Amino acid sequence: MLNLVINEWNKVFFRKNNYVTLIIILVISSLLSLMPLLFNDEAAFEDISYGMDWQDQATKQIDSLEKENTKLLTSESEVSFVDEVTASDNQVEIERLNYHLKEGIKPPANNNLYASLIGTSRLNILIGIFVTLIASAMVSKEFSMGTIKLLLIRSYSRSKILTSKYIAVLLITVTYYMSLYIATVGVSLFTSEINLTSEYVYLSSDGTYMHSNFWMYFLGILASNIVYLIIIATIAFTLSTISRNMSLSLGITLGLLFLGPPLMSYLATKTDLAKYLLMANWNLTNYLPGNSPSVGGMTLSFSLILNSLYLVFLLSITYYFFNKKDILA
Amino acid sequence: MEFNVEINHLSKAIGKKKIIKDLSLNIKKGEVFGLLGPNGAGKTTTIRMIVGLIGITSGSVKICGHDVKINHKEALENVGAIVENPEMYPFLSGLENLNYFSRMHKGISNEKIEEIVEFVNLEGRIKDKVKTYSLGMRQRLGIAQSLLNNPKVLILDEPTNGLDPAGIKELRQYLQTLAHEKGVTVIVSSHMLSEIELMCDRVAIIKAGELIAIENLKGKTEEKYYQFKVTPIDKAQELLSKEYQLSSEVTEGLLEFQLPNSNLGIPEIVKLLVGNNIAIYSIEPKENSLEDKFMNLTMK
Repeated sequence: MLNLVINEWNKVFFRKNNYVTLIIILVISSLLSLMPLLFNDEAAFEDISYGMDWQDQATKQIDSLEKENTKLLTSESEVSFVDEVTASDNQVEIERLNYHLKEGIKPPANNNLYASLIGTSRLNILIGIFVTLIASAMVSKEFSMGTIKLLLIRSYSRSKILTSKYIAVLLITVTYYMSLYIATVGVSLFTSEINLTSEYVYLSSDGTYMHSNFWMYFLGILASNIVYLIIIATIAFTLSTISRNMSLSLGITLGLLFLGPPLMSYLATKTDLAKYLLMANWNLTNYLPGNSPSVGGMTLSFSLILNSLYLVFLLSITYYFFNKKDILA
Repeated sequence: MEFNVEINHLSKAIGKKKIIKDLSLNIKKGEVFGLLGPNGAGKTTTIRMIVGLIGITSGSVKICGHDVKINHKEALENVGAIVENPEMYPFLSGLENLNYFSRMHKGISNEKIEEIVEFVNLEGRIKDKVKTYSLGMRQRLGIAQSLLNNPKVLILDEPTNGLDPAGIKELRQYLQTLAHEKGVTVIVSSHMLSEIELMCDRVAIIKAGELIAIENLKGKTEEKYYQFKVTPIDKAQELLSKEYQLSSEVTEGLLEFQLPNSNLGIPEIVKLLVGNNIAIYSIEPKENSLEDKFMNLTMK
């Protein structure tokens, strides 16, 4: 079995396509971490690092921001749009600093490692696309190349061959996802400041600030995103196996990836039954503190059970079809 | 008699269409066995059922005593095969392909792989990607792949496709050595009569999914016969049956008969005919070739 997985892994990993994919992942995630330096206003360079007297620093900052706002909003002429935006940005910043002061948490530098890591996690949809490409080709390509025959005339059962392919897809999924962070950490070591506290302050979906232990929060994101990517990979793998058609599998999975969530949101406004849809459940970050579920009343255990049921269903039909079909390729 | 492959009342239907109808064959240890039939006769379908690529509608296939349906693992451990075209991974080199498939078997050493590469004459190109190979080279690599696990049953679907005459001759000799000296059962399918004739010990002729005949190609001397052009033909026929109890036939104005193995020879017959004032225009020894039989059997 190990040999079969090694074979499948080699076939995917030591290919030009895979190297290109890995380079794209590394480049995009480094660019994202460099973004504040490349495009942002001077804020990133201002280098507000807070020292021992951070409370005084923060209070002064709040004072100056409030003064600026009073000036902006009470000028004699009409308040311009730009001024309004600046004022509202300032207001958010005031609230954030106030929250830090209230909770006694030292604020991080503007460009900090935690923010980079969380920002990179949003690229999981990009990984979803790459994983869909790999999983869609996994079985269908063997058919189109005719090599499926050479795999199945050996003494291994069809289920074992399929399992080795599925394991290889999961390994590639985790590899792609983790390589997002390699570049982020690498770049951040030079451009961002390492946070001095493990408390992470963030905005919740209802607009108020809250804080958690960063590493627990980050682990929650990692686990949720991996579950999400496994679901995407499994959908593509199933379609690739039962249709033996790479384009079909690719098209349907990517369609689901991009159009699934808005469709689900729309349906959720009509009926509560939308909560039984896979796309209402595949994003477990909804259950991290400060976020809200796709449909009111859903819980983490509900989503975990539903996701497992969907996976069991997808894998059952995959194995059923793969074992049953005549190989005429 | 030891049979390495036993096919019993094998049938295959796809939908309502019957592709293979009640096929029974027993293939011996140490023989080269041919599956001969026109295109679409069901040769490849039969091979696909033997190696478990497609389901068996009814009947059974046993390889070295193991039923392919029930003991898939044990049965297929004894098999090496090429089914239809020898497709390999085009983006891997020949050697990488062989390493790949050797990982699917137990205990195949690098020396074994080298030995096989040498046998199929691919040493010079084995490190090149398969997509750069010619059809003949792919065929050689396919054969190499099928030999990796020292199979007791070697199944080659159209193995001479794309090989040059020298390659065909080498393959023929190798397959015969494998069968006759190492006791391997070799099953070869082809629509090329001359090839099958030279390569095989026995051949099954298949037409429209049915077994039509099994021919033994080893003892084909008895198929020799003579054609005489004589006049008057009826008198000659009468004389032959009266003097030598020879039964003969007339086809297309020619007198045809086989000689018994006794000391009766052509000179005696000529003497008899000439002595009875029968004019002889030509005498021709004939051999009933597989081609004639094949045509006879499949054109009916």
